[in-house]
Amino acid sequence: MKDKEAHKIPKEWPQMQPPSGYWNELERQMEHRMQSEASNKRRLWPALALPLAAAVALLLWFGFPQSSKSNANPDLAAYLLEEEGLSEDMLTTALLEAEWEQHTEAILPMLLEEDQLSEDELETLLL
Amino acid sequence: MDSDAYMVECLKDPKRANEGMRLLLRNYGPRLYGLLRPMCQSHEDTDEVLQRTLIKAWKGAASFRGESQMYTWLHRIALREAWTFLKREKKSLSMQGMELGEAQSTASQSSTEIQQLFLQSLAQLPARQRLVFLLRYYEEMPFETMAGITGTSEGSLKASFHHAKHKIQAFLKAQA
Repeated sequence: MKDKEAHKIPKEWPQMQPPSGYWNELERQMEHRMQSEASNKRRLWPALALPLAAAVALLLWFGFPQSSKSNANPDLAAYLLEEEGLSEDMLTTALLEAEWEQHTEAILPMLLEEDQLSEDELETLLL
Repeated sequence: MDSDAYMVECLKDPKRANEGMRLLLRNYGPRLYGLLRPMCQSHEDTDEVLQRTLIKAWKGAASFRGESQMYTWLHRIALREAWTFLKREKKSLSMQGMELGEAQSTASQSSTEIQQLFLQSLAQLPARQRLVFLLRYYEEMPFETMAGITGTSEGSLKASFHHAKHKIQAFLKAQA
């Protein structure tokens, strides 16, 4: 390879194929997984309905923590509640984490420009 | 009714959900697999993220109102699932290194030497950096959009991209 080409990053999306027979196997697995999800839903929903209703009532009554509500991604709370089914405590933690992400944005230029942290340390901090 | 609309109707109907899933797999499975595979590196992880994506699409079919293209909607779900999966798994560098041989053997035969090296350099990146790099470099996704999908600040995404690009360039240069 010529040296001048060495640092060039290819512009084509890397093509990587699944093993042969994968799609038939996946179709079978998805059928099984959908049946399993549907039966779990039928079984779990009656047990979860009351705690979920209580959690939603608490959230409506007390509202989200003020600091989180003002800073977090506005879609995040809805997503966590609707898609992930988080409890009130877990939701509060997640929103505080989102707020932390915003704080890291403010200090990031300092960390990068003044090189106070190594690359790995910075990555750990941001994860 | 077009094929996507019919597929969504099937997914929403418990009696026809399996047919809807088959259509979803045939129409969009390979494209989603191609999107996820370089991000996840191993076939096993790609399979898991793809299955989670398909399940989310099935469960969310009722909320799909056709305001965006079907693939745009699926693409967003897949990226969110990949991000969540890779963040939870926190794959170590050594584990990713084990997949190098697989990455080489499954790349198309027409790939150039640079492309092969590029796959190796991707495999050495932390999962977060790899995903951000692929989205930014190939899909030219704005950081703002990426932040909306991942729930992460634009600043940290920019940092991840910056590190990923430099690591890949350094790797390619070192291999020259």
